[in-house]
Amino acid sequence: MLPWEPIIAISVVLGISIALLLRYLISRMNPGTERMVKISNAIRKGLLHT
Amino acid sequence: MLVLAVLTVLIYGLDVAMNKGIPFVSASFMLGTISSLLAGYVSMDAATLTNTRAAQAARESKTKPLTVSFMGGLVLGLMVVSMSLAGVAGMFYLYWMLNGWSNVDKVPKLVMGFGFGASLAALFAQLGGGIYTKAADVGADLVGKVEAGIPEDDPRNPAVIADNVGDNVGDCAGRGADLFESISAENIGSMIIGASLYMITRNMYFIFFPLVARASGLIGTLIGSVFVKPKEGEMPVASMRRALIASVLTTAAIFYFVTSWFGKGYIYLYISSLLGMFAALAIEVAIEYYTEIHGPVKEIVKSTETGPATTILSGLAVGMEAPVIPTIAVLVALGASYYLGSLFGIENGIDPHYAGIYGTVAATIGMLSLTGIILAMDGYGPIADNASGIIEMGGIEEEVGSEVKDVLDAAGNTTKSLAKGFAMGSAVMASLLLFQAYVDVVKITQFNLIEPRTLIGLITGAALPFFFSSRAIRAVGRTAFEMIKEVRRQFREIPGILEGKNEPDYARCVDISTRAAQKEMIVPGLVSLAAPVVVGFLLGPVAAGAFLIGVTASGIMLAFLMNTGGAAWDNAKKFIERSGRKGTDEHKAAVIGDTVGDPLKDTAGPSLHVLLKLVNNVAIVMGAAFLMYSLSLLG
Repeated sequence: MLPWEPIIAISVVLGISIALLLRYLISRMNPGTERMVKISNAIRKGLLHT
Repeated sequence: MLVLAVLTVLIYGLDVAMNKGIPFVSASFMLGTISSLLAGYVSMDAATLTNTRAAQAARESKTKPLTVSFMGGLVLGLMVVSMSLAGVAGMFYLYWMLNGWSNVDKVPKLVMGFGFGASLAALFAQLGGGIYTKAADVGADLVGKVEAGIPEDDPRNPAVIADNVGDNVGDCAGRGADLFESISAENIGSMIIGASLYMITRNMYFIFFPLVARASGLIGTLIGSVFVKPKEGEMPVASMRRALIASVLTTAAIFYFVTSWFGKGYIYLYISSLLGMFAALAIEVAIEYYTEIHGPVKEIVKSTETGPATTILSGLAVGMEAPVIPTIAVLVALGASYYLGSLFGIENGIDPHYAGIYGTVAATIGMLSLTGIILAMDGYGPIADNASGIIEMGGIEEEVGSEVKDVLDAAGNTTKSLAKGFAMGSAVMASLLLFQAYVDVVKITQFNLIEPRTLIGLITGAALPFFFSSRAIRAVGRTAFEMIKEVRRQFREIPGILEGKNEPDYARCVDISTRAAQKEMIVPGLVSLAAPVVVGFLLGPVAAGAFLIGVTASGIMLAFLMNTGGAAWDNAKKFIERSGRKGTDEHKAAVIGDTVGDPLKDTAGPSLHVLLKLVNNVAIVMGAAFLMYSLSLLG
């Protein structure tokens, strides 16, 4: 193995893992009132439509 | 999809001609396109997941929404950079294995399709996203705010959801795909140049350094992001600036370690990479000076006293002046890094010119190593914008107070403007680097400007960004017109919307923006793809090189003009509103300035970044074909 290969591999794994962990933590937060969730879902639905 | 299929078949033709039919370039093109679209999707997913949670956080404390919004932005930044690194490194190792371990120098040219694919998807994401977002914004504002007199982000406005969707399409998906493409193409271009140095020195690290540097930037982003801890009463941008500075310092420290693997004279390449980072910071400072409340924006505010014409003139003047400092910063970084690289070459017995070019590669890599943290700050913008909208539409504005909403808005505008500045700087550096990679592919040794074909190529290239911008701006005008008609129709035909008794048809407005954006981006997209190919086959590889320089030189000036001028008009209007002069003649003049600037700063300007890199990527992929065709004509 070349000496720099572990740096590339570790940083990719670390970057993706931390991003997924942050996403999970955000998803566990309180999304607010029913109305707020409805608006957010409408924005999400609109985005998927694009 | 049709464009993608046709291009894949055409690129496979290149594989048949040059790679014995093994689909190296066409497969990397497909993967680059898919990865870039995925980067855009991941960005939008993170933003829409976070927006309502950031709004909810505003009910709990004043600083929490900032932290939550930044977390969402960080998901975006980390994913985009990691996916780019994983894609380029993964393809490189796969092709290296398939080609035989002794043929490492040939591999970067096989991966170049990845950069082209990423560019193509980024162009459609940025251009389509820009048309979408501005059409929805203008439609929502003109009918909702001006005609019906309802506030911004009011749920009674039929275009309000399209407007909020647009924030994400333009700033998340568009910028995510733009920077994904920048770092991927820059990595591949650097590896192509590194392969030439490997052939001279047999040091494989010249090829791998771009990947190692990208990994170092990712670690710098992770460490820097820990410093985002907003304090009560402090402007949120201050904590993000701390994170940016911490990222720069950490990445600079790691770079010292990773450049030392070059051995003798490594310090020259290390300083070159630092020059790239300083150029990025200098561009940020310049953009902030021209777009925040300093001399230039105050000049526009003053000119509103004499009406819209002088407002437009002063905004244009600010936009035309704005490219000067960033251009000087980039040129100083490139010139000094070329000199330092040649010193590295002299010390190691390498041709100083080739080593000098590698010095500029180190500077570009240094600048783009900050992509992760910049994207995290950029992602904050649309999340904060949406959170602010949800606070208003969700009916919790009184509970959280307008102060939190204003702070979220103001910080979002600043981070978006900083990210755009960075995207512009990185586009210049990346396209100049890609140009060097093109020169390497077609083995051009000199450009003769007295030769008519070269001159024709140069001027054709200079004209392309103007044509492209014209189509983008017209597209916004046309789509906004459709949106305005639809919002008026709904107010007229659906009873009780303005009284809040009946819900508007939000989906119809989303549909109008989507369809129009998809339709309007076809012509400028196809012309951008075809122009370098036509010039390359008709006038030869040297003229195609001149064409690339023409596009870069005029495109970057135009991009700075439009992005900075547009942001300056926008902030002049906001300054007037904050100083309690809403509804006055000055405000009306400022609104006209802002409306003119909107498609410039959010549609045409950002799309030009991608155009610069796309034409270079097309030329790199087609370079060998240009060369073969022109040699066949010579017999």
